[in-house]
Amino acid sequence: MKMMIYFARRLLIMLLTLFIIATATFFLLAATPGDALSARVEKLPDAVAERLYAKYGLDRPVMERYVNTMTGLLHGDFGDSIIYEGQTVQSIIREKGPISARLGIQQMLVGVTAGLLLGMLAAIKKGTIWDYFVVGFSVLLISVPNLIFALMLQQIFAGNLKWFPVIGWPRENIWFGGWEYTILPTFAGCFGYIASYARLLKASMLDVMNQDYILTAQSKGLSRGEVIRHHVLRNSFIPIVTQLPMSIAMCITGSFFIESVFSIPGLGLYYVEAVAAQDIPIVMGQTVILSAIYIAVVFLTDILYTIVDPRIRIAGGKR
Amino acid sequence: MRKKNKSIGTKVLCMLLLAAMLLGMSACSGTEPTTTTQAADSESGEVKLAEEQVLNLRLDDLSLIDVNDVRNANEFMVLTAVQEGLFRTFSDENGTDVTEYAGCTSYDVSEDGLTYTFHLREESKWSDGEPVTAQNYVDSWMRLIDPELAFSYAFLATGIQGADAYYNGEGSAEDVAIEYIDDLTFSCTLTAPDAAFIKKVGMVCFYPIRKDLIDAANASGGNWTNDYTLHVYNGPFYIADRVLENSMTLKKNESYWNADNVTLTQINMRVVDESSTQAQLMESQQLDVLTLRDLEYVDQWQPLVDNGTFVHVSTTAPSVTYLVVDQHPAGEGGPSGLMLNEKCRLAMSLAVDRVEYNELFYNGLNTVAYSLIPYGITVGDLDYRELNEEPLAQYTDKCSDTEYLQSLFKEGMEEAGFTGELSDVTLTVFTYSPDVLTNNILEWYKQQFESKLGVKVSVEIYPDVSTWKEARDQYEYDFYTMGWNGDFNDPMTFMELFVTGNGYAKFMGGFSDSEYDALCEQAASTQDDQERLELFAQAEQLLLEKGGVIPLYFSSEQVYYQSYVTGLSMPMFGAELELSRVQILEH
Repeated sequence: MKMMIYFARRLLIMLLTLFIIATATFFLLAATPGDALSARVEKLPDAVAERLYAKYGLDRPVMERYVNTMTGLLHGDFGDSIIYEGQTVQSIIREKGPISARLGIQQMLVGVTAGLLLGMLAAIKKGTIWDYFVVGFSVLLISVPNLIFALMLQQIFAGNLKWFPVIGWPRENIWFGGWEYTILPTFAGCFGYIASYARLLKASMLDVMNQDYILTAQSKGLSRGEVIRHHVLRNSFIPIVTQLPMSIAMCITGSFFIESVFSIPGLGLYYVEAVAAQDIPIVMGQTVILSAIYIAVVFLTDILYTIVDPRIRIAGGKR
Repeated sequence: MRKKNKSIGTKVLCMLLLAAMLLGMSACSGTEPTTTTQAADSESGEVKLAEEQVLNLRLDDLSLIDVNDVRNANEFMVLTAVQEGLFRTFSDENGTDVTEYAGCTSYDVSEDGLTYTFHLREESKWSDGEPVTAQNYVDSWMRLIDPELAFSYAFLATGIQGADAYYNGEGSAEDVAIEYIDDLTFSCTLTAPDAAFIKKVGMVCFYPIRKDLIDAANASGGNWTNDYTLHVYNGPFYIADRVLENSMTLKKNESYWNADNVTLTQINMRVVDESSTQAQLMESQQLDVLTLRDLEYVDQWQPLVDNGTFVHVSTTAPSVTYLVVDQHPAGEGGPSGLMLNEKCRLAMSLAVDRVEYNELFYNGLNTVAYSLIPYGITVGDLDYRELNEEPLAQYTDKCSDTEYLQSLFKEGMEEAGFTGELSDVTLTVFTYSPDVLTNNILEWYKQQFESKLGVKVSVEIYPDVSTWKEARDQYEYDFYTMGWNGDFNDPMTFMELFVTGNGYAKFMGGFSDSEYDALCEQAASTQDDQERLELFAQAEQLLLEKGGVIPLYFSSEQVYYQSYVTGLSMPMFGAELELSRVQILEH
């Protein structure tokens, strides 16, 4: 029963959060000077311009537009794009979401794997040159914007060495085809994961290594390898497991720079263009949908916590 | 706006510099080949064509594929490739625009110059096999001025009887003088003779449409504006594939009436924003034509041009950038109170060192402007600029003659009833763009006017375009940078901006002069090309010598293409790249 109440409460909070996000997005967009049509109407007679505004409902007072937008949201209707006529958020996400998702997942798999290995290395070889290397490398990776990596990789491996195509993305078999197109963008975007997961695992492992039960395990005469495998790693993966869903959720949003450099038809590029063009229905729709996914993942993560870490119980549960 | 593509930064810059060109203006570029390293001469008969006739282009994705609602250069290019109107415009070897009959085979103009009758080409077909009929044109022209649809280019058709009233919601569709005569003939009647009308109707917004398909799409909830699968095509190519914001593939349209003369089988177009990526693609022959955004490649690629890998063409766009000066009576001469005086304005105009400006900010790649009408614009078949010297060119020696400039400005001050010294005057220039180039340019104006005229210049930067517009509408400026891209190939496309009461007057400084108005009106109604040319020349001289506007430069585009590409046309008006005669040579 308590579990049910907890879920109901969480669900309510989720909806409230979503409502606040939608409201904030709407008013921030409304407060932005200019609109998607101002460029187009500059040259039109006033009467015609008015009709154009009426067509998109932009002639209405802010509060009325707000109510209309929110009513639309409730029905899953975000409205048509002002820039690409006839396109809706759903059609855009359906078309572009999988592309960003594949790229994001590939980046994450490569980045997280490499990050975990490096993190492990740094923790095990703490205080050695390896440790410093990993720390230094992480700082470097996190400080350099991935646009730079993208352009560098493109120049070296596509431009000079011609190992990979300069730009492009598989058109068919979008989940598994055309891997040669995906390699450079995958590497260009995985560095952030490497850096953050390496540091996360290192910190977590060091934390665990200082626990009393590790000392106990060691004093039982277990070898260092066994202690690390059975006791340290298992416990230090808790923050990793809870971090992962967030990373997965962010995959779908895409990356503006990488998609732009490699001409990938993903969501990231489109989203930024929509914001720049003040294409309100699209920006609202994407923000709300992506927020919803994110919020849902946070919720799942909380549940995951209780599974992987028996010390955490849902409020009111017995210890 | 003339071009949509460009990195975000360039977009901002473009918006600022050419803020007036906010709506889809026709694409540009009369060509002026700087090198002629063509690999082979297509006329010689020794040409060996490559097995794969595929052209690779960079794309700025289209907002829509609706001919009546065409807005930007990219749409002009693609729609000209896949659809066809009455005429098709190419550029000849000298870079001059050559217009050929396409959808029509001839037309008649009535003696009073009011009624145009078009005779359509019998062989023209849509890709679904249906013939292109006069009704398709009539439907299109009526749709263009449909008040509900509010298309940007409707103004080009409002000279037709009844069209203006209909478009403004005051008249009815029945009263518009566009008439279907038979399947291959239709006519329209103007309210007043307009010698430039024939140049307007060749534009994409006047292309025929298939109303039956539009109605069917609307009835079934389809997205005709953007869904290429709902369209049929009557041009040399058709849209075979499209990924929003990413790529588009055109293939040869076998049912095109002139398909035998189309060699390309496929055109691949991709959205590539980063200029370094664009360069990589050009260097590795994965892109065949590129208009440079990043001018650093001009020097970098010179060796490739010299060794015949690339062909470099510097095209002149029908575009002029100038300083707008506040002459609105309500503005009372701007913050300085002097801008209603023509001597003050002329002194400013003469003081600007246009050559230095072009060198400093555009690597000398644009053409300095001592007049309003760009090179390449024609009156009928007469080349306007070739026959009329630029009015301000005779004053270039005055540019550094500070004594003359200051006394001229001082005279103007006295005429305007100002008793103070030159140093008491503050001219205000404003912008909303935070980018470095714009601000450097404003600083340069400041330095020019302060050192040459002895006045002070205040540079004001507004945080965003809305507050800037508000300030503009309150006349809180003396001058600012503005530009215009011509819509059709006639001086009128520029001259009309400065006619009293013109719709753009509020962006263009509001110059008002009865003599100028009379000259323009006469030029509009005169049918004789030579006479029109002279009328325009008089009007232009009057405008510039009264300092009605201060021209700065005519834009150029730096276009590079692989030397194995031949038959590429870059007309000044119409499509930026006309692709129907392109061939790929063996390489």
